[in-house]
Amino acid sequence: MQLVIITFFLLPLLGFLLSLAFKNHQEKQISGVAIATSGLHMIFTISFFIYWLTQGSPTINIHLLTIYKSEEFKFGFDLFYDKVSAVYSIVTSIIFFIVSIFSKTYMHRESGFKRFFNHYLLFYTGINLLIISGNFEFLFVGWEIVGITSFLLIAFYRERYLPVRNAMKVLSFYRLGDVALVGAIWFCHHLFETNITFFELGDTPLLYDATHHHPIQGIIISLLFIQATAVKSAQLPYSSWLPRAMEGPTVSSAVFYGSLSVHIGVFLLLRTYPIWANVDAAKFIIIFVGLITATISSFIGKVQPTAKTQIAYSSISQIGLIFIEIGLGWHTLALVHFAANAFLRTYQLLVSPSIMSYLIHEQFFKYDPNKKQVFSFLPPKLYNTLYMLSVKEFNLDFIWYQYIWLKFKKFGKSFHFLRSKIAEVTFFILMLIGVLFYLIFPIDGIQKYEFVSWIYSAIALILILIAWTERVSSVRSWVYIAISQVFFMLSIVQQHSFELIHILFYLSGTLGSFIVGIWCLKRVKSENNNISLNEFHGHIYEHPKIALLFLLCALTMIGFPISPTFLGLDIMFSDIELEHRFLLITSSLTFIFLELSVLRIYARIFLGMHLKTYHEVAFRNS
Amino acid sequence: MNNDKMKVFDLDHSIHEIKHYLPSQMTLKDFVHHNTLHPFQNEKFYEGIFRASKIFGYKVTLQLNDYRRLFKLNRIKRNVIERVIINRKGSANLEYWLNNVLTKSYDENKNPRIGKLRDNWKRVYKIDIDLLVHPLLYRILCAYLDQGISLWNFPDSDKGFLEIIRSMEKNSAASFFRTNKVRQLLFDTNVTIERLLSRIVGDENYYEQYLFDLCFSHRGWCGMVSVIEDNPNALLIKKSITLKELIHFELLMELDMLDLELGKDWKPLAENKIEPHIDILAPTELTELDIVLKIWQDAFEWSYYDDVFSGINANISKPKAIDQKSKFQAVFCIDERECSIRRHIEYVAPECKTLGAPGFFGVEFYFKQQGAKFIDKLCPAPVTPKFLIKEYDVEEHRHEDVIFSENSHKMVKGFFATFALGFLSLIKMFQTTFRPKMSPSISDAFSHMDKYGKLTVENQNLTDIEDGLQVGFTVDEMTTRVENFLRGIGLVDKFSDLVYIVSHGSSSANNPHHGAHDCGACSGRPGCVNARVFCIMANHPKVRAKLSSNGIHIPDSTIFIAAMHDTASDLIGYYDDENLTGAHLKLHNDVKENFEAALDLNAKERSRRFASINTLQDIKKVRKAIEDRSVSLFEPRPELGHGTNTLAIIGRRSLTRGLFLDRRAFLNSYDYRTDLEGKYLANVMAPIGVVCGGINLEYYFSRVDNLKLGCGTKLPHNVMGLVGVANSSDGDLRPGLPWQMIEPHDPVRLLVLVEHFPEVVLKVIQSNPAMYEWYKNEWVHIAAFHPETKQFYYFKDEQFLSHHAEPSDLVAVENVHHIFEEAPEMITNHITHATFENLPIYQIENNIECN
Repeated sequence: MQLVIITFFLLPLLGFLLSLAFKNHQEKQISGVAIATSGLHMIFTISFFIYWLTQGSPTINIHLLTIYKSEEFKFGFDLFYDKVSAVYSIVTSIIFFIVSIFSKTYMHRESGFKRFFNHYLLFYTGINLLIISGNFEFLFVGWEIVGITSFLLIAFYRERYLPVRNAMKVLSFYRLGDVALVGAIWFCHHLFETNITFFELGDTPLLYDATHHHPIQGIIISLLFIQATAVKSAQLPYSSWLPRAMEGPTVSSAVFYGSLSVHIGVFLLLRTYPIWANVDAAKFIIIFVGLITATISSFIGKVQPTAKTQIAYSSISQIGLIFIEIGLGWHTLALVHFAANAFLRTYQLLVSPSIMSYLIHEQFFKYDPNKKQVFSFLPPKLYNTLYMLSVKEFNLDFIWYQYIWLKFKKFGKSFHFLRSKIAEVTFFILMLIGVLFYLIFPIDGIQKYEFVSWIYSAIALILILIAWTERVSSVRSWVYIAISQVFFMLSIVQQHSFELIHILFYLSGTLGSFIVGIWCLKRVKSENNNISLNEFHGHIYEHPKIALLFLLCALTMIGFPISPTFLGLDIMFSDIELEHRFLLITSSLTFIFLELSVLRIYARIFLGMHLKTYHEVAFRNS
Repeated sequence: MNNDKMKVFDLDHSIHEIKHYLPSQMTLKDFVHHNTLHPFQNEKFYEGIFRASKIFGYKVTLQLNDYRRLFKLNRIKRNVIERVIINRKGSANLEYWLNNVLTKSYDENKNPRIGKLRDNWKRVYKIDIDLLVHPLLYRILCAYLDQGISLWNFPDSDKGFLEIIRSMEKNSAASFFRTNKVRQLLFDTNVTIERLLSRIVGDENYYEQYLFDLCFSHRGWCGMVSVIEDNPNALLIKKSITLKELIHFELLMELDMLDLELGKDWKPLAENKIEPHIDILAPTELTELDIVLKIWQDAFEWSYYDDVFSGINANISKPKAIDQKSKFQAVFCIDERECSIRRHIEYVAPECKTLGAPGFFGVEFYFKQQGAKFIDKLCPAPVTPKFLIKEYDVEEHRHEDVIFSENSHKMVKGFFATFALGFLSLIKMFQTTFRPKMSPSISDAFSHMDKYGKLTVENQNLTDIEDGLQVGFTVDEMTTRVENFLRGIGLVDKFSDLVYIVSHGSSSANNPHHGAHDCGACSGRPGCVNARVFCIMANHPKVRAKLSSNGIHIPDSTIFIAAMHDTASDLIGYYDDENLTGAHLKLHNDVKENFEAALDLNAKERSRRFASINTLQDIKKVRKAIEDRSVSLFEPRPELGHGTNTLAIIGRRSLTRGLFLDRRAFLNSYDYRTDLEGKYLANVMAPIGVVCGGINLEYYFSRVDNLKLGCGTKLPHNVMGLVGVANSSDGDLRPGLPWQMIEPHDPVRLLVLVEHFPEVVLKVIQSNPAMYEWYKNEWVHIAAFHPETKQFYYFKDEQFLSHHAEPSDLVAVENVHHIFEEAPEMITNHITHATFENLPIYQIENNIECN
C-alpha cells in the first residue's frame, strides 16, 4: 500500500511528458492535462493524508530501488513521508490545481502557451520529488529541477532583455544555494560515512554521536544548510533576487515566487532539523537571519510602490518569521504559517492587477492630505535614512553585483591572456599527461603527488572563469567549459581509485552535448549570424529548434538529471576526501560557474532582444 | 559665454521639443485614447509615420511579408492594388511597381537615429550606463509619484521633486548617490543641466542629441513626468515634478555612476572618437520600401472600404417602409460596440428607432460621488467643464476587500494578518475560480453612481460654487444643452412615449486598463451619470417649455429614461424608472423585455470571438458566460474594447439600418434635413477626429508595433504606483494598448462618412484647423454622401471628388444569427489568422424601416 507514494511524483511526471505531445494551439488538451494532473494529484494527496492519519500518522520510509551502488557510494531512490511532506504536498497540489484552471484562460493565445504548461508541470514534478524524496541525492534532483524551471519561467518572455537578464541574476543567486547544498550533502556523506536517508536522520543516537564527535563539522554542515535555505527562501543577504524574479506571467509569479518556490528553503530547514537540532550556534543563526530579514524586508516592503514587489517583500518578511519559528522549534506553527503565507501571497499576486482600480477607488474616498504619515514620530533624519535605504533595498543588489560578481569577473578576466594558441596547446598536453598519469601509474603512486590534483582542479576553475567572462567567442567559451570539465574530472580521479564506469558515466553526457553544442553554434553562425558573447542576440526568433537542442546540451553539460553525467558528477563529488579542502573549494566554485557560464552562452546567443529589427522588437528596458 | 554668439544649445527649446515627441498617455485612471504618433500629425500620414520610424525605430505598418500573405489569402485584392498603384504612380508604371510590391525583397531592418550617441558609453567605455542608473531611478520616481501602494511615503511632497531630494539628502545618513562629489553637486544650486552636460558630454553640439537619447532611453517614465507636469490633475495626490528636474537628477545619477565606474579621469563622451552629432529631428526621406508599404496599406484599407461604399449604396436603394410613430426611441453612444446592440434591438423590436451620439449626451460636467474626496470629469477630454454635479442621499456603503489590507504587508500585524487572510484566500481562490461573482476588487461600471442616489442637476443659486465650479445647471443652460443635442442627432419631432438614453460602461476584473473600456466621450468613465443628467434635464417642465418656444415640441406624454449598457457583461441598468405608471410602465416593461432579448443576441454575437464560450449552446447560457467573464479574475479579455473599429458614419440610420457592419462602425445620428446649413454639423464633427480617430489610431499603432507602441501582453504587467504598468520590477512604464485588446483589430485607418452636401462638409471641417488637420493630412479618411444625388464624394487633396462605388457583391442573409455560429475563430493572433475573424458586410433582409 505504501508503494502508492510514488504517485506523488509519478503523476506530475506523466502529466509533464503528456503535455509535451501537443502543439501550441491545442490549448484545451494542454491545459486539460495540467488540470487533470493537478486535480487528480490534489485528490490523491488529500486522500493519502487522510489514510495516513488513520494509520496513526507514521513516518513512512520506502527504499524503492538502488540506482547505483559501489563500496563507498550508494545512490538509492528512497521515499519519505511525514508531517512536513504532508503539509507541503497538500498545499502544493491545491495551489497547482487552482492556478492550472486560472492559467487555462489567463494564458489563452499566448505564444508560449505550451511552453508555460511544460515548465509548469516540470516544476510540479520537481517540487514533488523534492517533497517526497527520502535522501539528499533525490532531494537535490528535485531542487535542481526547480532551479532550472525557475530560470526558464523567469525568462519566459525570452524575446525581451530584462526577463533574460533577471533570470541569469536569479540563477546566480540560486547557484550559491546549490553549492551550499552540495557541500552540505558532501559533508554529511563523510560525517555519517554513508549516503544517509532522512529516515536514518531520525535516529537520534547516530546523529548525536556524529555531531558530538565532530562539533566543527556539525557547525559547518548546519551553516551550509542554512545558506542553501536562506538563498532559496530569499532571506538576507540574498533577498534581492525575489522581486526581480517577477518577470513571467502573473500566474507563474504567483506559484513560484509568491508561494511555492520561495518556501522550499523552509522545507529544507525542516527536513534537516535533526542535523542542526543539537547545534546551538545553528539555531541562533537561523533565528538571527529570520529576525533581521523579517525586520529589514518589512521596511523595504513598506516603501515598495509597485504591486508585485510589495508582495514579494511582504512574503520574505513572513518567511523570516517562519525561520524564527523553526529556530525556536515551533514546527507545527511554522507549517501552518507556511500554508497561510503561501495561500495569501498566491492570491494576492493573482489579484495584483486589480490593485489599480481598487486602490484608486480607495483614495477617491479615503484620501486625507492631513493624515500623518506612518512613523512620522521618528526624527526626520532617521526616517529619511530608513526610507532611502529601503528604496535602495539596503544596497543589497548593488553589493552583490559590485563586491561579489564583479570581483569574480575581474579575477576571471585576469586570466584572459590564457586565451592564446600556446596556452591552448599547453592545456591539451596537460590533459594528455593527466590521462596518462591515470592510466599508467597505480593509484597509490599518484596519490603521493596531491599537488597535481590541486593544480588540475585550479586549472579547471580558471578555465571555467575564463569561459564565464569570455566576451567574444561563444565557441571558445563552450570549448573551455568542456576542457574545464575534463580537468575537473582529472583532478578527482588522480586522488581516488576510480572505476572506469564512473568516468564513462561522467563523460557520456558531457562529450555528446559538447559536440552537439558546437554544431548548434556553428549552425547558427553559418547563416551569417553574429554569435559573440558581447550581447544578447535573440537568435531563438529564427532558430527555435536549434535553441531547444542547445538548451538540452547545456542542461546535460551541467549535470541536469537527464543523462548519466548527473550520476557521474554526484559520485565524483562524494569522492572528494574530507582532507582535501582545497579541492573541495575549487570544485565547488567550478560547480557554481559551470552552470552560470553554460546558461550564459544559451542566454546570450538565443535569448534576449533579437538584433534583427525587421519585426517587432521590444525596447531594451521594457 | 559671449551673449552675442548664437547659442548652439538652448535647453528650454530642447526640452520643449522632447516633450512634444514623448508619449502622452495619461495615468491609467484616466485612460483617454489618442493618436499614439500625434507629434507627427502635422505631416501627412505616411510621411509622418515613416519619419517616426526612422527617428525612433517604431514599426509603423505591417511587415511586408504579412501584406503579401494577406494578398495570397485574398484579404487584399489584386484589383485594389492595381488601382492604388495607378492612382499613385500612373498606369505607365503599373508593371514596375506591381513587381516591387509583390515580389521584390527589401531589407526591413530599422536603424533609428535615437540612442546612437549614448550607445558610445558601451562602445568606448564598456559600461552599460542605463543598467547602472535606470533601476534605482525608476524606483525613486515611482516612489515619489506613488498614489497609494506603498505604506511609507516620500517625505514632504510639496516642494518639487529636486528640492525634496535635496532636503532628504541633507537630512539623512544614507544617500541615493555613491560618490560624495556628486552629492555635493546636487546641493549646489549653481549647477545647471548645461554644466552637467559639459562634464558628461563635453561638446555643446551634442547636447540636444544627448538629451533626446537620455529621455527616450526610458520614454515611459519621461512621458509620464511630462504629462504630470502639464496636467497636474493626472494625479489624485498631487506631486510637483518637471521633466527638467528629472533630467537634472538623472544626469547627476549618471555622473555619479560614471565617476564610480571609471574613476576620476575620464574624458567627456564627445571628446572620444565618435561619430559626428546628428540632428534627431532633421528631415527624412521616403525609401522605395516605404512607398511599397504605403501601396500595400492603401490596398489593405480599400479592400475593405470598397465593400462599405457598395454596401451602403445597395442598402439605400432598398424599398423603405412607411413613416410611422416609433414604439420607442433609444439613443446610444456612437461607440462601435453599440453598433451591434442597436442592430439587435431593431431586430427584436422592428418598430423602434435607434440613434447614436457621443456618450456624454451633450452635458459636460464634473461629478462628485457622495463621500468622495475628488471629482471625475465626465465629458470628452479636450473639454473643460464649468459645472459640478453632486451625488447625495446614497444609503448603500462601499464594500472593502480585506485582501488588499495594508496589514498583510507589515511584519508583526502581518503575522496575524497572514494567518487570518491566508486561509480566507484559499476559500476565495476556489470561489473566484469556480463561481466568479462581483466583488469590491472588481471595477464595476454600475458602482460609478448609486442607482437610488440623487443628483444636483438644477442649480439653486448662482453663488453655489464648489471647487471653483457651479453646482448644477440653470434652466437656460439646461435648455441649450438639450436643444443642441436633439438638433445634433436630428430628433426634433415624432417623439415616442419613451425615449431611452443609453450610456455605456464596462466592468472588468484584474484589469489595470479597465478605463480604456469605458466611455471615451466621458474621459474613460462609465456614462451613466451623463445619461441620467440629460434625462433629468429633458424631463424638466421648465426646460420643455423653453424648448417649445425654441421650436422643439416634446409632448407631455414623452418621458426620457436613462440607462446604462455594460459592454463587458451585457447587462443593462435603468435609472429613475421607479416613478413610471400606467401605460408608460407597461410599455417600459415591454421594452425591458426587448432589451433583454437584444442583449442575449448581442452576447451571442460577441461570444463568437471568445474561445472559452460555445456560441452554439443555449443562448441564456451564452449570456451567463459573458456575464461571468466580466467578473473573472483569470480573464484577460473581459471584452475586446474598440478592437476592429474602422468606420464612422454620420447620418441617418437609413444609411446603415439593414447592414451588418460587424461592430466596426461608430454611428452618429444626424439628419441633414434639420440642418441644411451645417450649423450643428460642426458640433457633431468636432469629436469625430479626436475621439474616434484617436481611438482608431491608437489601435492601429498598438497593433502594428505592439512591443514599442503598445504595451505588450498584459500577463506580466506590474502596477506601478497606480499611475501605469511596467513589466516586472525594473522595467520602464509601458504606455499603449495590450495585446489582449488589439488582437482582432485590422490596422486600417478610420473612414468617416458624412451624409450631407460635400460643400457643406468641406466648409464644416475647414472651420476648425485642428479638426481639419486630421483629414487634410490623411490620418483619417473622409467621404461625403450626397443626400440628393446619392453619390459618394471622397476627400483628397483638400477637395471632395466624386467617388464611384465598386459594384456590390454583397451577400444577403435572412438574419445574421447563424453567421455567428459559423464564423471562423483565429488560430493564433497573427494578423493573417486574426483578420479572418472580421466578417464581410452583409445585407440583412426583412428589416423594417421606420422613420
